[in-house]
Amino acid sequence: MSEALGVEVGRVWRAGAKKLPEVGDTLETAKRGVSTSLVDLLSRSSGVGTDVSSRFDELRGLISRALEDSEQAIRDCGTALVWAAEDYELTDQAARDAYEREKQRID
Amino acid sequence: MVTPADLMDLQGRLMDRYNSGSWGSGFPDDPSQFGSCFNNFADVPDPSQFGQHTDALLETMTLLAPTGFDTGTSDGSGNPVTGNANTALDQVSTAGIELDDWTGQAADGFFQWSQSWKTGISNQFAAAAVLRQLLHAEAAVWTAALEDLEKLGNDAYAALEAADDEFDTGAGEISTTLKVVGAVVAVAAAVPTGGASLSILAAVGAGVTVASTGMDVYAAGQTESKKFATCCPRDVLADLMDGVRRVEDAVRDAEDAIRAQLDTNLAEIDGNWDEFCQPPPTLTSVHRNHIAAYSGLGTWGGGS
Repeated sequence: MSEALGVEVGRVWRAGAKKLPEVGDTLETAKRGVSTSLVDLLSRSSGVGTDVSSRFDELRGLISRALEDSEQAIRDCGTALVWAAEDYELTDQAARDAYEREKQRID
Repeated sequence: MVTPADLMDLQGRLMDRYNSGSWGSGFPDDPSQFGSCFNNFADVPDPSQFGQHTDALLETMTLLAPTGFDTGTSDGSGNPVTGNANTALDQVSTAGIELDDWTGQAADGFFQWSQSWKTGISNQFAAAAVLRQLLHAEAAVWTAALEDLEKLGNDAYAALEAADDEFDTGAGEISTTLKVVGAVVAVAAAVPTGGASLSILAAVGAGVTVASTGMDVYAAGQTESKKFATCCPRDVLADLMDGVRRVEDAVRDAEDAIRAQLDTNLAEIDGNWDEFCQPPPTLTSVHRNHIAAYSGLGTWGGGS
C-alpha cells in the first residue's frame, strides 16, 4: 500500500515540479505576442478615420493580463502539488522510498 | 506597398507640376492645396508596419491552440495561414498528469479547475485570433486607402499635364478606379474557436475578411470610379480634393466597423472575466505549513 502511495506521490511531485511549470513556460512565451503596445502603430494626429488605437491596445492588454494570471495560477498549482508531495513523503518510510525512486526515474 | 511618406513625395511633385505649368485661366483659389492635399495622411498607420505584430500574434495563437486552426488569413503567397494544436497544454489534465488514484476534495477541485482553466486558455486563444484578424482589417483598410490616394495623385498629375497641353494634344477625360471608396470592410471570416466558451469571441470575425497584406480584400466589383476634368488646374484640384474626401469618408466608415467589433469583444471579455481567465484554485491559497492538512488532500488511493 505504501509503495503505491509513494509512486502516486511521486507523480504528484512530477506534475508540480515539471509538467505544470512547462505549461507556465508556454504561457510566458505566448505572452510575447501581446507584449508590445499597438498605440504607436495605429494612432494618427490628423483625425482622419476613426482612431481605434486605444481600443486595440485595450484588447491586447486584456489578453496579456489573462495570460499573465493564467500562467501564475498554473505555477502556483505546481508549487502546491510539490508541497503536498513533499509532506506526504515524510509520513511513511516505504512511501518515501517509492517516492524517491519515482523522482529519480523522472529526473 | 504605398506608405504615408510616398504620399508626401507625391504631393510635392503635384505642387511642382502646378508651379511649372502655363495656365491662361482656371486658376485655383488656393493652389497650395496641390502641395498639401495628403497632409492628413502624413502619419496614418503604415501598412508595412503591421506584419511584425500579426506574426507575433500568430505565434501566440500557435502556443495557445487547443485544436488545429485556420486563421482565415493568407500569407504573402496567398496560401492560407493554419496551425496545429499545442499538445503541451494537455498536461493540465488527469491523463496528462498521470494521476490515477488521487481522489478527494483537493483532487476533484484541482481537476475540475484544470478543465475550466483550459477553457479560459481557449477563450484567450480566440481573443488573440480576433485581435489578429482586426489588425489585418486595419492593415487592409490603410493599404487600400493609401493606394487609392496614390492613384488619385498620379491621375491628378496626368490631368494637370493634359490641361497644360490641352491645345496641343487634345487630351480627354481621365478616370481612376478607387478601391477603398467602393467597399471597405467585407463579410465575415470565422475565427478559430476550438474549446472557447465565450460565444461572442467565437463569432467575432464577422465583419472583416482580410488577407495578410490586405491586397486581395477588395475584389473586382468593389470599386468606384472617379473622373478627373482636364480643362484647367482649378477643376483638377477640385476633383482631387473630392477624391481625397471620399477616401477619408470610406476610411472612417471602415474603422467605425472595426471599432464596433472591438467594443463588442471588449464588453464580452469584461463581462465574463472569470470565464476568460480562471482564478487560481483554492489549493493554491493553502499555506505551506498547512498543505498536508488541507481537506481532501490525504486520500490518495491505497495510501490512507
